[in-house]
Amino acid sequence: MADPLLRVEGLEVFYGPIQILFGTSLQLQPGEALALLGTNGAGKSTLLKAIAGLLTAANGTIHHRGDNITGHRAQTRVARGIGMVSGGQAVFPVLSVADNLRVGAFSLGRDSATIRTRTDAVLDLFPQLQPLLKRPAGLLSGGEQQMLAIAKVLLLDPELLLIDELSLGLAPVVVGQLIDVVERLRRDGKTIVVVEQSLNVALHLAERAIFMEKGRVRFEGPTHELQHRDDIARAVFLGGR
Amino acid sequence: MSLHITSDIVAAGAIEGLGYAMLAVGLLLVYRATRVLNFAHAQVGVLGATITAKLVLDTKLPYWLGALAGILVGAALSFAFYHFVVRALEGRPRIVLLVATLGLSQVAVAAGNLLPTIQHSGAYPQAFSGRWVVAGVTVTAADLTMLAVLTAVGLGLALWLARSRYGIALLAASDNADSARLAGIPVQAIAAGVFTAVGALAALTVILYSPVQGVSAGTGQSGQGTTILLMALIASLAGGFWSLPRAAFAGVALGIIEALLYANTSSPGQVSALLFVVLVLTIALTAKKSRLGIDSASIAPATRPIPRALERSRWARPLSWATAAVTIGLAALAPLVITSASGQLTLVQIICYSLAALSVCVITGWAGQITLGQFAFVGIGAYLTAALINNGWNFFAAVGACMVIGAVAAGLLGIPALRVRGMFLAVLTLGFAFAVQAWLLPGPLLNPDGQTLVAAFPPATWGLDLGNLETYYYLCLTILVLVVMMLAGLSRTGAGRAMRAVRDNEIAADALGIWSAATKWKAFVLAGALAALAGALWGVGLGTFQASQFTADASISIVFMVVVGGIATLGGPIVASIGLVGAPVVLGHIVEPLGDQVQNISTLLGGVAALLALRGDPEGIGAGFRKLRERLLRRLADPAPDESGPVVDPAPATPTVASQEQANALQVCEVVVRFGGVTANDRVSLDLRTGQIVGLIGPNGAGKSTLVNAISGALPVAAGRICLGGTDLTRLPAYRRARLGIARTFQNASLYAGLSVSETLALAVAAEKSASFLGSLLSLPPTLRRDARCRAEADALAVRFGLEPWLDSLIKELSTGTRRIVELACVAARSPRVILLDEPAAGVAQREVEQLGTLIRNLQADTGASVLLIEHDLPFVLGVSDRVVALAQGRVIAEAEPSAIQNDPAVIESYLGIDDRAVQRSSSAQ
Repeated sequence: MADPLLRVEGLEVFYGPIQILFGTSLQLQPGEALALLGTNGAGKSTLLKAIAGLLTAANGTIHHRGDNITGHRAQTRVARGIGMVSGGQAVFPVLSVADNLRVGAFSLGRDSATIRTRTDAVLDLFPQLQPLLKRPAGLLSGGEQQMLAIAKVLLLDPELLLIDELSLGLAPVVVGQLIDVVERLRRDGKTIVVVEQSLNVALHLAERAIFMEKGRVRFEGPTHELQHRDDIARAVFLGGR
Repeated sequence: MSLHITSDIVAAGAIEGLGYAMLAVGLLLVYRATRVLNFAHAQVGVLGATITAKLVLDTKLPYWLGALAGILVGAALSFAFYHFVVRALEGRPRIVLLVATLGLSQVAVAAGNLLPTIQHSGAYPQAFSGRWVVAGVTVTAADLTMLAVLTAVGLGLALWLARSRYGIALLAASDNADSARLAGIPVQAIAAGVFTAVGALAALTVILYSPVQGVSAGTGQSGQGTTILLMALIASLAGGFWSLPRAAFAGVALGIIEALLYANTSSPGQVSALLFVVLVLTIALTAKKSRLGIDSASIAPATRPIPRALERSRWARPLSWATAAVTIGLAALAPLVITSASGQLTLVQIICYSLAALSVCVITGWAGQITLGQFAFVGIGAYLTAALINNGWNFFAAVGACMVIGAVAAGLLGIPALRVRGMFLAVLTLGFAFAVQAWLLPGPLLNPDGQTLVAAFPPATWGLDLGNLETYYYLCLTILVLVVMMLAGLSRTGAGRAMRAVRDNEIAADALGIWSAATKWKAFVLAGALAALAGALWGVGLGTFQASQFTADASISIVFMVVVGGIATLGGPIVASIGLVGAPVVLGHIVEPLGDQVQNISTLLGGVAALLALRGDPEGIGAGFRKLRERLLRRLADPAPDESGPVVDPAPATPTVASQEQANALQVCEVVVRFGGVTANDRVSLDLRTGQIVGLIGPNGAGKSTLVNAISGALPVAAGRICLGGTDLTRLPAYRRARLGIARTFQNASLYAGLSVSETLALAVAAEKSASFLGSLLSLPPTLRRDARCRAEADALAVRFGLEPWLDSLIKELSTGTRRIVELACVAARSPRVILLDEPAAGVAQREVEQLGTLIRNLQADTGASVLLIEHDLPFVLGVSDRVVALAQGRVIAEAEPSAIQNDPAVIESYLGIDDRAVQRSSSAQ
């Protein structure tokens, strides 16, 4: 069997003295979508940050297309086609929307033709941003900021897209639009990992889910199965055990 | 007196101003890259320039090579600082980084002083010489060089920043480092480049500026460093701490103003005082608009208190007494071992520095305000005591008067100073320290005889021979012990808790009814009195002294040392003083041939060691003591350390039901709130009936949080009225509204990072009653009794909300969900009439959301208050509310029963959309 797109094995990550991930493993095949679920503090964001290179692993390995990238910096991983949308504020609040996009295209270098085509393409995907180009990103609404954040990452045309919290704190109408965008990206063949608090949103986004608790994987399998695994779904989402 | 103004003066001032402009540009570049004010900027340049002078004048190196060497030194030092210190401090509170730059400044000064003295001292070297008259203005070669080189460098830099992708990457990296990394920007390499370039630029600027200013090489240039730093800071402020062109322009203007002041006043002291006025005006004009104040709230690392179960164990008190006895005993034995006069003077100095350092602990460690001017108050204390004693005052009366004057002076400075925050205050107090040293101390007000060397030899007073250093040491020690006891009392009780709450989160403190501004001001006043006390004792201890002993540099070094020692603890400042004062003496004894240089060597080594130590334990040495005590207590308290739970009755406290006098508890009429050009609330009206829970829904950016902020007083309203019962709240500050019965939670639930849960709840129980500042200081029994009652009430509250396991945890250690529960417990403690909840379910797992609903209903039932609830989670908000109001684009678009609101066409269009998947987010997945 060919190498998976991403293979994480036995990952341990610390925040200062506190251990967040306890030997997490996962595999991703090209083109699939994976939802990372779990309660607050389960380590979902930490896992994404470690994959993107924002946090360093104390133990364990990360392989991308068969190459060990565990010690690589974020910028090297970006160049390999790993893109991430941070949770919370993923834009540059002081910069205008246009400048945010300029910064997003940083690693395209001085290839202005490509930059222009891709910028036009993401503005097609998020037409709402077109009239806001001159506004500082910090003054945008939460939904617009999330769109800008995704647009920024898409400029680099990543093969693997990591999204930390797609729907958190956003109005339902915006969440609906974002779900549509993610579905479109999947049709374009991108591999997607998305962290979600909401089981319902996750069900619509991914066919496979990993459920984490306290830095460990507690369930891995098809999302619809998770739905029927009452023990887990109830424990996390409905209260009581 | 007419103003003396000629084209020569203006031209010379403009050329000097170019130097300030370039330094300001360097400051801003570092600020853009790291969001920290680099207080070492000028001193790094001065060190480079001193090396250039040494190489050119003594080693006879060609000028260009010497200048290059100086520039390289500046670049290398700056790069090393970034590489070894700044990078390691990533993610720490910004104050730690700011303090590190203070340390670098110390190191640069000491290194400069350690260079071999320049033998062929004289005019500072320059590239070539000459003097011409152009259009009636005399221009020297140095002027021309500076003009040509700095203009070229400045324009080149501006062009590169504007055109290259690195210019914008630099901004992005400081704005949001993680996102910049994810865009593939080499964040660290860029920051390293900025530091290196800025170090080189600083050296280049000072090398070109020195001959223009007519500095003579060979004399200590570090005084020059702090002066030009202040000028560059003023210029940067005038540029809003952001715009490079505006800062550069301001720098040139400032040079002209300075030249005109020199030409029109009689002494350099007056120029310093007037420049301080310029600084105050600049801050007053720019503080509101500048970005400098925004991100400076994060402050002092917090140390976890010792669990109270341990503190209540029977060993706690004996251990305290034993620690105190050993410490005081050692201090009392010191003069018996160290018998030389100079040694005993050092002991006195340690005590006086400890007092000054404790004042930094109060103002920076507890109240969270960075001040670089404490030695100004020390100087005022010393000079004033001398003047009073020489006028025949009793020594103790003179010291007492000094403390009062110190407190009054701090109070007066505090009124304008505390209106600005964070780094602004640091700059302002630095300017104050300058003006005091150069103008006030030598001036006629404190020094009527106009002597350079002031003498203070009090006669024997109350049977104490104050001339005897040993006696005097014991007197000072007694005073220090008293001060420490008072401060310990303050930190233990409500007034101290309130101070730390203001430090961690001013807006949330206001929402508890704490008057933040007054709390900070009290800390400022207390610190002023303490520093003046330190000065009074130190002046008399020295006998004779002069203004140059109370420099801004001394203020800087004490802040730096106190942070290393542990800024929020009482032991830290004392340890810092022992290190700062004692280390050079001890070093001098051990390595005798060091001679005069011992002070500089000690500063250099101490500075480097402290910079490296800063990377390790952010809590400082003082926190180590506390941990040691905790470990000892745990060992002594074995085998059952944690069995003694809270001693309160776990039955729910009787709720205070608000009187039902009004059908409408809260009325919001036509409220308008604007940010810049955006109208966030556009004539919003809303009634909250007593006992009702009203849900407030709407898409992001609809103005929900803005409305809550307007009601609680966190934001000013442009128009409209807000009434609670019959009381008009519209113009009242937030803390007054809180006292009238408005309680709220915040979207981020950040509370007070450095307080424990139990302290936070105690604060909520009795925020306004903690006003007895004096009672806390003096540990008066009524204050202590009241405090104990309020701690017990807080414990009972913790039981009610199931928070006992976390009583001794710091807020910053809690998960979002637990912090939200603590916030709700705080609300319950306030006996509120109106409760405002801003997204209490955000970031809380769905399992907990359901419990949250019950909790909110119970909270409402217990307090009888009306509740306004912002929530995105529709099933949750519809389940809890009696009525729902929908906002969109700043206006109320619908108001209905929960069952009806989902069918309102306006709501569906603007908020729900048609995507059923998203609407049903938290409803179960059956």
